[in-house]
Amino acid sequence: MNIDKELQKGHFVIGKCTKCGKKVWPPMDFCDECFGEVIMEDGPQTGRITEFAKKENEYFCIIEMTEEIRIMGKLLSGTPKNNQLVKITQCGIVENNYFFEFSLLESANM
Amino acid sequence: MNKVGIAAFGLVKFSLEDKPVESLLLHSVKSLFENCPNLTKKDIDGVLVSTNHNSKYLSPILSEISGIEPKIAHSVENLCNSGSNAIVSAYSYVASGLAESVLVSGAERYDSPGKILEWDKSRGEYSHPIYWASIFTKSYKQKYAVKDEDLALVSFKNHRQSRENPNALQSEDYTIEDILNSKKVTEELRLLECSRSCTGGAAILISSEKKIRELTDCPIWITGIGQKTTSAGFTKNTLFSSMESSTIAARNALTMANCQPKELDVIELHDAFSVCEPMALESIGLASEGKGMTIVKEGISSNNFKINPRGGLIGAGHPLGATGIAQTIEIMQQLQHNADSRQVDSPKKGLIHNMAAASTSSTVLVLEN
Repeated sequence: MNIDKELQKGHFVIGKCTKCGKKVWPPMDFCDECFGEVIMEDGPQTGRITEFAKKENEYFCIIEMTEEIRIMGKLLSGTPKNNQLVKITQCGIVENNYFFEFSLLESANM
Repeated sequence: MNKVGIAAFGLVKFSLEDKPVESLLLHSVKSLFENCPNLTKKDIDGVLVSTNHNSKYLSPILSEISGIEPKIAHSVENLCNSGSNAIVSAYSYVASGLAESVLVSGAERYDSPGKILEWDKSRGEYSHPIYWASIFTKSYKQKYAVKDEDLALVSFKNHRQSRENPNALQSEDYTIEDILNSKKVTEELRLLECSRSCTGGAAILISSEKKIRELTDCPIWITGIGQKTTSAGFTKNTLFSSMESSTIAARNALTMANCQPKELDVIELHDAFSVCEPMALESIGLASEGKGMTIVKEGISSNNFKINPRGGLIGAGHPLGATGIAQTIEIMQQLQHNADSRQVDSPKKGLIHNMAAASTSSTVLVLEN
Protein backbone atom coordinates (compact mmCIF):
# COMPACT_ATOMS: atom_id res chain seq x y z
CA MET A 1 0.00 0.00 0.00
CA ASN A 2 1.53 3.26 -1.03
CA ILE A 3 -0.57 6.30 -0.29
CA ASP A 4 2.40 8.55 -1.09
CA LYS A 5 2.39 7.57 -4.77
CA GLU A 6 -1.28 8.51 -5.06
CA LEU A 7 -0.89 11.74 -3.10
CA GLN A 8 2.04 12.74 -5.28
CA LYS A 9 -0.40 12.60 -8.17
CA GLY A 10 -2.81 14.83 -6.23
CA HIS A 11 -5.14 11.90 -5.59
CA PHE A 12 -6.64 11.63 -2.08
CA VAL A 13 -7.05 7.99 -1.15
CA ILE A 14 -8.07 6.22 2.03
CA GLY A 15 -7.96 2.61 3.23
CA LYS A 16 -10.93 0.25 3.41
CA CYS A 17 -10.96 -3.04 5.28
CA THR A 18 -11.89 -5.97 3.02
CA LYS A 19 -13.24 -7.86 6.03
CA CYS A 20 -15.34 -5.42 8.06
CA GLY A 21 -15.57 -2.48 5.65
CA LYS A 22 -14.13 0.06 8.09
CA LYS A 23 -12.49 3.14 6.57
CA VAL A 24 -8.87 3.27 7.73
CA TRP A 25 -6.93 6.50 7.94
CA PRO A 26 -4.05 6.80 7.50
CA PRO A 27 -4.12 3.67 5.31
CA MET A 28 -2.12 0.78 6.75
CA ASP A 29 -1.70 -2.86 5.74
CA PHE A 30 -4.34 -4.12 8.17
CA CYS A 31 -7.54 -2.80 9.77
CA ASP A 32 -7.14 -1.35 13.28
CA GLU A 33 -10.48 -2.94 14.22
CA CYS A 34 -10.27 -6.55 12.95
CA PHE A 35 -6.80 -6.87 11.31
CA GLY A 36 -8.51 -7.54 8.00
CA GLU A 37 -6.59 -6.68 4.84
CA VAL A 38 -6.88 -3.05 3.81
CA ILE A 39 -7.13 -1.87 0.23
CA MET A 40 -6.99 1.69 -1.07
CA GLU A 41 -9.99 3.44 -2.50
CA ASP A 42 -10.83 6.97 -3.56
CA GLY A 43 -11.26 9.19 -0.54
CA PRO A 44 -14.18 11.53 0.07
CA GLN A 45 -13.73 14.96 -1.47
CA THR A 46 -15.77 16.93 1.06
CA GLY A 47 -15.86 17.35 4.82
CA ARG A 48 -16.99 19.65 7.59
CA ILE A 49 -14.75 21.99 9.57
CA THR A 50 -14.43 20.76 13.16
CA GLU A 51 -11.99 23.47 14.28
CA PHE A 52 -9.72 26.09 12.80
CA ALA A 53 -7.17 28.76 13.68
CA LYS A 54 -5.23 31.42 11.83
CA LYS A 55 -1.63 32.30 11.09
CA GLU A 56 -1.08 35.72 9.54
CA ASN A 57 -3.72 35.86 6.79
CA GLU A 58 -4.11 32.14 6.41
CA TYR A 59 -6.66 29.88 8.08
CA PHE A 60 -5.79 26.26 8.81
CA CYS A 61 -8.61 23.84 9.56
CA ILE A 62 -9.29 20.32 10.73
CA ILE A 63 -12.00 18.82 8.58
CA GLU A 64 -13.98 15.66 9.30
CA MET A 65 -14.81 13.61 6.23
CA THR A 66 -16.17 10.54 8.01
CA GLU A 67 -16.10 9.59 11.68
CA GLU A 68 -12.66 7.99 11.18
CA ILE A 69 -11.08 10.45 8.78
CA ARG A 70 -9.95 13.92 9.80
CA ILE A 71 -7.23 15.88 8.07
CA MET A 72 -5.64 19.26 8.60
CA GLY A 73 -5.06 21.72 5.80
CA LYS A 74 -5.18 25.24 4.49
CA LEU A 75 -8.34 27.14 3.60
CA LEU A 76 -7.64 28.89 0.30
CA SER A 77 -10.13 31.74 0.71
CA GLY A 78 -13.03 32.96 2.80
CA THR A 79 -13.70 32.99 6.54
CA PRO A 80 -14.32 29.60 8.12
CA LYS A 81 -16.90 28.61 10.68
CA ASN A 82 -17.19 25.34 12.56
CA ASN A 83 -19.37 22.75 10.80
CA GLN A 84 -19.06 24.47 7.43
CA LEU A 85 -18.83 22.19 4.40
CA VAL A 86 -15.57 22.31 2.43
CA LYS A 87 -14.09 20.37 -0.47
CA ILE A 88 -10.51 19.30 -1.09
CA THR A 89 -9.20 21.55 -3.82
CA GLN A 90 -5.70 20.15 -3.91
CA CYS A 91 -3.52 17.66 -2.07
CA GLY A 92 -0.03 16.35 -2.51
CA ILE A 93 3.44 16.04 -1.03
CA VAL A 94 5.98 18.86 -0.83
CA GLU A 95 9.38 18.43 0.81
CA ASN A 96 8.28 15.14 2.34
CA ASN A 97 5.20 16.73 3.94
CA TYR A 98 1.63 16.00 2.97
CA PHE A 99 -0.49 19.04 2.24
CA PHE A 100 -4.22 19.55 1.86
CA GLU A 101 -6.01 22.63 0.57
CA PHE A 102 -9.70 23.30 1.00
CA SER A 103 -12.30 25.70 -0.31
CA LEU A 104 -15.66 26.57 1.21
CA LEU A 105 -18.82 25.06 -0.24
CA GLU A 106 -21.15 26.97 2.10
CA SER A 107 -21.19 30.59 3.17
CA ALA A 108 -20.39 31.54 6.76
CA ASN A 109 -23.96 32.73 7.27
CA MET A 110 -25.53 29.31 6.96
CA MET B 1 3.75 -4.56 44.92
CA ASN B 2 6.86 -3.46 46.76
CA LYS B 3 7.02 0.13 48.00
CA VAL B 4 9.06 2.30 45.62
CA GLY B 5 10.48 5.76 46.09
CA ILE B 6 13.00 8.34 44.98
CA ALA B 7 16.38 8.29 46.67
CA ALA B 8 18.35 10.99 44.84
CA PHE B 9 18.37 13.47 41.98
CA GLY B 10 20.74 15.43 39.74
CA LEU B 11 20.10 18.44 37.52
CA VAL B 12 21.89 20.24 34.70
CA LYS B 13 20.96 23.88 34.19
CA PHE B 14 18.67 24.39 31.20
CA SER B 15 20.28 26.48 28.45
CA LEU B 16 20.65 26.90 24.72
CA GLU B 17 24.19 25.52 24.75
CA ASP B 18 25.49 23.27 21.98
CA LYS B 19 26.49 20.23 24.05
CA PRO B 20 26.61 16.53 23.12
CA VAL B 21 23.72 14.58 24.60
CA GLU B 22 26.20 12.11 26.15
CA SER B 23 27.79 14.99 28.06
CA LEU B 24 24.41 16.18 29.34
CA LEU B 25 23.55 12.69 30.56
CA LEU B 26 26.91 12.36 32.30
CA HIS B 27 26.59 15.75 33.99
CA SER B 28 23.16 14.81 35.36
CA VAL B 29 24.53 11.56 36.79
CA LYS B 30 27.57 13.30 38.32
CA SER B 31 25.19 15.78 39.97
CA LEU B 32 23.09 12.90 41.34
CA PHE B 33 26.11 11.17 42.90
CA GLU B 34 27.20 14.46 44.45
CA ASN B 35 23.74 14.86 45.99
CA CYS B 36 23.76 11.33 47.44
CA PRO B 37 27.08 10.61 49.19
CA ASN B 38 26.01 7.13 50.38
CA LEU B 39 25.36 5.91 46.84
CA THR B 40 27.91 3.63 45.17
CA LYS B 41 27.97 2.58 41.52
CA LYS B 42 27.45 -1.05 42.57
CA ASP B 43 24.07 -0.04 44.05
CA ILE B 44 22.69 0.62 40.57
CA ASP B 45 20.95 -2.34 38.91
CA GLY B 46 19.47 -0.45 35.97
CA VAL B 47 20.29 2.59 33.82
CA LEU B 48 17.48 4.04 31.70
CA VAL B 49 18.01 6.95 29.33
CA SER B 50 15.15 9.20 28.32
CA THR B 51 15.68 11.26 25.19
CA ASN B 52 14.40 12.00 21.69
CA HIS B 53 17.97 12.28 20.43
CA ASN B 54 18.74 10.03 17.47
CA SER B 55 21.90 8.48 18.95
CA LYS B 56 21.78 4.74 19.50
CA TYR B 57 22.29 2.73 22.73
CA LEU B 58 22.77 5.77 24.92
CA SER B 59 22.10 3.81 28.08
CA PRO B 60 25.11 1.48 27.66
CA ILE B 61 27.14 4.55 26.67
CA LEU B 62 26.08 6.42 29.80
CA SER B 63 26.78 3.33 31.89
CA GLU B 64 30.31 3.00 30.48
CA ILE B 65 31.24 6.66 30.87
CA SER B 66 29.82 6.68 34.42
CA GLY B 67 31.62 3.48 35.40
CA ILE B 68 28.40 1.56 36.03
CA GLU B 69 27.79 -2.05 34.96
CA PRO B 70 24.01 -2.42 35.27
CA LYS B 71 21.87 -5.51 34.77
CA ILE B 72 19.31 -3.47 32.83
CA ALA B 73 20.23 -0.79 30.30
CA HIS B 74 18.02 0.70 27.61
CA SER B 75 16.44 3.90 26.31
CA VAL B 76 12.84 5.08 26.72
CA GLU B 77 11.33 7.44 24.16
CA ASN B 78 7.83 8.81 23.96
CA LEU B 79 8.33 12.38 22.77
CA CYS B 80 7.67 15.00 25.46
CA ASN B 81 6.71 12.52 28.18
CA SER B 82 9.73 10.27 27.69
CA GLY B 83 11.00 11.26 31.15
CA SER B 84 7.94 10.22 33.12
CA ASN B 85 7.64 7.05 31.03
CA ALA B 86 11.22 6.19 31.98
CA ILE B 87 10.38 6.76 35.65
CA VAL B 88 7.39 4.42 35.36
CA SER B 89 9.62 1.79 33.72
CA ALA B 90 12.12 2.14 36.55
CA TYR B 91 9.29 1.91 39.10
CA SER B 92 8.15 -1.33 37.46
CA TYR B 93 11.59 -2.91 37.63
CA VAL B 94 11.90 -2.04 41.33
CA ALA B 95 8.31 -2.89 42.31
CA SER B 96 8.61 -6.30 40.65
CA GLY B 97 11.84 -7.06 42.47
CA LEU B 98 13.95 -7.24 39.32
CA ALA B 99 16.03 -4.32 40.58
CA GLU B 100 16.75 -2.56 43.87
CA SER B 101 17.78 0.75 42.31
CA VAL B 102 17.36 2.12 38.79
CA LEU B 103 19.04 5.29 37.60
CA VAL B 104 16.96 7.33 35.15
CA SER B 105 18.75 10.04 33.21
CA GLY B 106 17.03 12.27 30.67
CA ALA B 107 18.69 14.74 28.33
CA GLU B 108 17.90 16.76 25.26
CA ARG B 109 19.49 19.33 23.01
CA TYR B 110 17.82 22.55 21.89
CA ASP B 111 17.60 21.10 18.35
CA SER B 112 15.72 17.96 19.41
CA PRO B 113 14.10 15.98 16.57
CA GLY B 114 11.22 15.20 18.94
CA LYS B 115 9.38 18.42 18.13
CA ILE B 116 8.11 17.21 14.76
CA LEU B 117 5.87 14.18 14.49
CA GLU B 118 6.79 12.83 11.08
CA TRP B 119 4.38 9.88 11.16
CA ASP B 120 1.30 12.00 11.77
CA LYS B 121 0.59 12.83 8.13
CA SER B 122 -3.02 13.81 8.89
CA ARG B 123 -1.65 17.14 10.07
CA GLY B 124 -0.54 17.88 6.52
CA GLU B 125 1.97 20.70 6.42
CA TYR B 126 1.01 21.77 9.98
CA SER B 127 3.44 19.44 11.73
CA HIS B 128 4.94 21.90 14.24
CA PRO B 129 3.40 21.83 17.76
CA ILE B 130 2.35 25.48 17.45
CA TYR B 131 -0.50 24.39 15.17
CA TRP B 132 -2.16 21.87 17.50
CA ALA B 133 -1.69 24.34 20.33
CA SER B 134 -3.39 27.06 18.28
CA ILE B 135 -6.33 24.75 17.58
CA PHE B 136 -6.58 23.92 21.32
CA THR B 137 -6.39 27.60 22.24
CA LYS B 138 -9.01 28.70 19.73
CA SER B 139 -11.38 25.92 20.81
CA TYR B 140 -10.90 26.49 24.56
CA LYS B 141 -11.27 30.27 24.33
CA GLN B 142 -14.41 30.04 22.26
CA LYS B 143 -16.09 27.32 24.31
CA TYR B 144 -15.46 28.92 27.71
CA ALA B 145 -15.33 32.62 26.77
CA VAL B 146 -11.71 32.89 27.88
CA LYS B 147 -9.81 35.96 26.69
CA ASP B 148 -6.20 36.45 25.56
CA GLU B 149 -5.66 38.54 28.71
CA ASP B 150 -6.71 35.55 30.84
CA LEU B 151 -4.38 33.05 29.18
CA ALA B 152 -1.50 35.53 29.35
CA LEU B 153 -1.72 35.14 33.14
CA VAL B 154 -0.34 31.60 32.84
CA SER B 155 2.84 32.89 31.21
CA PHE B 156 3.02 35.82 33.62
CA LYS B 157 2.86 33.48 36.62
CA ASN B 158 5.23 30.85 35.26
CA HIS B 159 7.87 33.30 34.07
CA ARG B 160 7.69 35.01 37.46
CA GLN B 161 8.09 31.71 39.30
CA SER B 162 10.98 30.61 37.08
CA ARG B 163 12.98 33.52 38.49
CA GLU B 164 13.27 31.50 41.71
CA ASN B 165 14.52 28.44 39.82
CA PRO B 166 18.32 28.50 39.43
CA ASN B 167 18.17 25.82 36.72
CA ALA B 168 15.61 27.60 34.53
CA LEU B 169 16.36 28.61 30.96
CA GLN B 170 14.82 32.03 31.50
CA SER B 171 14.79 34.27 34.51
CA GLU B 172 13.13 37.35 33.11
CA ASP B 173 10.04 38.91 34.59
CA TYR B 174 7.39 39.80 32.04
CA THR B 175 4.33 41.95 32.51
CA ILE B 176 0.96 40.99 31.07
CA GLU B 177 1.52 43.72 28.48
CA ASP B 178 4.91 42.24 27.53
CA ILE B 179 3.24 38.90 26.94
CA LEU B 180 0.31 40.29 24.98
CA ASN B 181 2.66 42.45 22.90
CA SER B 182 5.15 39.68 22.18
CA LYS B 183 5.36 38.37 18.64
CA LYS B 184 2.22 36.67 17.39
CA VAL B 185 3.32 33.23 16.25
CA THR B 186 -0.25 32.52 15.20
CA GLU B 187 -3.44 34.50 15.73
CA GLU B 188 -4.01 32.51 18.94
CA LEU B 189 -0.53 32.30 20.46
CA ARG B 190 2.19 34.75 21.24
CA LEU B 191 5.85 33.88 21.61
CA LEU B 192 5.87 34.36 25.40
CA GLU B 193 2.98 31.90 25.75
CA CYS B 194 5.05 29.07 24.30
CA SER B 195 7.61 26.84 26.00
CA ARG B 196 10.97 26.74 24.30
CA SER B 197 12.93 23.64 23.35
CA CYS B 198 16.26 23.80 25.11
CA THR B 199 19.34 21.93 26.21
CA GLY B 200 19.17 20.26 29.62
CA GLY B 201 19.54 17.14 31.69
CA ALA B 202 18.01 15.58 34.78
CA ALA B 203 18.61 12.34 36.67
CA ILE B 204 16.72 10.52 39.37
CA LEU B 205 17.28 7.33 41.35
CA ILE B 206 14.27 5.06 41.83
CA SER B 207 14.80 2.57 44.66
CA SER B 208 13.16 -0.07 46.82
CA GLU B 209 12.16 0.80 50.39
CA LYS B 210 15.10 -1.16 51.79
CA LYS B 211 17.63 0.59 49.57
CA ILE B 212 16.09 4.02 49.89
CA ARG B 213 16.40 3.91 53.68
CA GLU B 214 20.11 3.20 53.30
CA LEU B 215 20.58 6.17 50.98
CA THR B 216 18.52 9.02 52.40
CA ASP B 217 16.79 10.31 55.51
CA CYS B 218 14.15 12.06 53.38
CA PRO B 219 12.54 9.40 51.20
CA ILE B 220 9.81 10.41 48.78
CA TRP B 221 7.38 7.68 47.74
CA ILE B 222 5.70 7.14 44.41
CA THR B 223 2.15 6.27 45.45
CA GLY B 224 0.18 6.81 42.26
CA ILE B 225 0.80 6.20 38.56
CA GLY B 226 -1.62 6.75 35.69
CA GLN B 227 -0.88 6.54 31.99
CA LYS B 228 -3.07 6.75 28.92
CA THR B 229 -2.46 6.91 25.17
CA THR B 230 -5.55 7.59 23.07
CA SER B 231 -3.84 7.75 19.65
CA ALA B 232 -0.72 8.86 17.80
CA GLY B 233 -2.48 11.31 15.49
CA PHE B 234 -3.62 14.74 16.60
CA THR B 235 -6.70 14.70 14.39
CA LYS B 236 -7.99 11.58 16.18
CA ASN B 237 -8.91 13.89 19.06
CA THR B 238 -12.65 14.45 19.07
CA LEU B 239 -12.49 17.42 21.45
CA PHE B 240 -9.93 20.20 21.34
CA SER B 241 -11.06 22.00 24.49
CA SER B 242 -10.09 19.22 26.91
CA MET B 243 -7.36 16.59 27.21
CA GLU B 244 -8.83 13.10 27.37
CA SER B 245 -5.62 11.15 27.97
CA SER B 246 -4.67 13.48 30.83
CA THR B 247 -8.09 13.10 32.46
CA ILE B 248 -7.85 9.30 32.38
CA ALA B 249 -4.22 9.21 33.55
CA ALA B 250 -4.94 11.61 36.43
CA ARG B 251 -7.99 9.65 37.56
CA ASN B 252 -6.01 6.39 37.58
CA ALA B 253 -3.04 7.90 39.41
CA LEU B 254 -5.22 9.51 42.08
CA THR B 255 -7.20 6.28 42.52
CA MET B 256 -4.00 4.27 42.96
CA ALA B 257 -2.78 6.80 45.54
CA ASN B 258 -6.20 6.90 47.25
CA CYS B 259 -5.99 10.66 46.96
CA GLN B 260 -8.55 13.36 46.17
CA PRO B 261 -7.47 16.30 43.96
CA LYS B 262 -8.09 18.74 46.83
CA GLU B 263 -5.48 16.90 48.93
CA LEU B 264 -2.70 17.85 46.49
CA ASP B 265 -0.38 20.48 47.92
CA VAL B 266 1.93 21.08 44.97
CA ILE B 267 1.63 20.30 41.26
CA GLU B 268 3.86 20.29 38.19
CA LEU B 269 1.83 20.60 34.97
CA HIS B 270 2.88 20.21 31.34
CA ASP B 271 2.29 23.82 30.21
CA ALA B 272 3.85 23.41 26.76
CA PHE B 273 1.61 26.35 25.77
CA SER B 274 -0.39 28.65 28.04
CA VAL B 275 -3.75 26.99 27.36
CA CYS B 276 -2.40 23.63 28.54
CA GLU B 277 -2.29 24.80 32.17
CA PRO B 278 -6.02 25.46 32.72
CA MET B 279 -6.86 22.39 30.64
CA ALA B 280 -4.56 20.23 32.79
CA LEU B 281 -6.02 21.66 36.02
CA GLU B 282 -9.44 20.59 34.75
CA SER B 283 -8.15 17.15 33.73
CA ILE B 284 -6.79 16.54 37.23
CA GLY B 285 -10.12 17.51 38.75
CA LEU B 286 -8.93 20.65 40.53
CA ALA B 287 -11.35 22.77 38.51
CA SER B 288 -14.56 22.08 36.64
CA GLU B 289 -14.68 22.36 32.84
CA GLY B 290 -13.68 25.81 31.65
CA LYS B 291 -12.76 27.01 35.17
CA GLY B 292 -9.03 26.20 35.23
CA MET B 293 -8.06 29.86 35.02
CA THR B 294 -9.68 30.44 38.43
CA ILE B 295 -6.85 28.49 40.05
CA VAL B 296 -4.18 30.30 38.03
CA LYS B 297 -5.64 33.64 39.16
CA GLU B 298 -5.76 32.50 42.80
CA GLY B 299 -2.09 31.50 42.58
CA ILE B 300 -1.14 34.95 41.30
CA SER B 301 -3.21 36.91 43.81
CA SER B 302 -1.90 34.92 46.78
CA ASN B 303 1.66 34.62 45.40
CA ASN B 304 1.31 30.90 45.97
CA PHE B 305 3.77 28.63 44.11
CA LYS B 306 1.46 25.61 44.28
CA ILE B 307 1.10 25.24 40.50
CA ASN B 308 4.31 24.86 38.51
CA PRO B 309 6.64 26.16 41.23
CA ARG B 310 9.81 25.89 39.09
CA GLY B 311 8.15 28.00 36.38
CA GLY B 312 6.64 25.22 34.29
CA LEU B 313 7.81 24.49 30.78
CA ILE B 314 7.08 28.08 29.75
CA GLY B 315 9.41 29.55 32.35
CA ALA B 316 11.97 26.79 32.93
CA GLY B 317 12.32 25.60 29.32
CA HIS B 318 11.51 22.26 27.72
CA PRO B 319 14.38 19.81 27.11
CA LEU B 320 11.96 17.10 26.01
CA GLY B 321 13.55 13.93 27.42
CA ALA B 322 14.52 15.66 30.67
CA THR B 323 11.26 17.52 31.31
CA GLY B 324 9.27 14.79 33.09
CA ILE B 325 12.28 14.01 35.30
CA ALA B 326 12.86 17.68 36.15
CA GLN B 327 9.16 18.04 37.03
CA THR B 328 9.43 15.01 39.33
CA ILE B 329 12.58 16.39 40.97
CA GLU B 330 10.76 19.64 41.71
CA ILE B 331 7.93 17.83 43.49
CA MET B 332 10.52 15.71 45.32
CA GLN B 333 12.33 18.84 46.55
CA GLN B 334 9.04 20.44 47.56
CA LEU B 335 8.02 17.37 49.58
CA GLN B 336 11.47 17.34 51.23
CA HIS B 337 10.94 21.02 52.16
CA ASN B 338 14.07 21.75 50.20
CA ALA B 339 12.82 24.07 47.46
CA ASP B 340 14.31 27.29 48.80
CA SER B 341 12.35 30.39 47.74
CA ARG B 342 9.94 28.26 45.69
CA GLN B 343 8.84 26.27 48.73
CA VAL B 344 5.09 25.88 49.32
CA ASP B 345 3.78 25.50 52.87
CA SER B 346 4.30 22.03 54.41
CA PRO B 347 3.35 19.88 51.42
CA LYS B 348 2.47 16.21 51.94
CA LYS B 349 1.27 15.18 48.51
CA GLY B 350 2.32 16.32 45.06
CA LEU B 351 1.42 15.49 41.47
CA ILE B 352 3.30 15.49 38.16
CA HIS B 353 1.49 15.78 34.80
CA ASN B 354 3.66 15.13 31.74
CA MET B 355 2.18 14.68 28.27
CA ALA B 356 3.12 14.19 24.64
CA ALA B 357 1.91 14.57 21.07
CA ALA B 358 -0.88 17.10 21.55
CA SER B 359 -2.05 15.36 24.71
CA THR B 360 -2.74 12.10 22.94
CA SER B 361 -0.48 10.50 25.56
CA SER B 362 -0.21 11.43 29.25
CA THR B 363 1.55 10.27 32.39
CA VAL B 364 0.54 11.36 35.88
CA LEU B 365 2.49 10.55 39.04
CA VAL B 366 1.52 11.13 42.67
CA LEU B 367 4.34 11.52 45.22
CA GLU B 368 4.15 11.60 49.03
CA ASN B 369 6.64 12.21 51.80
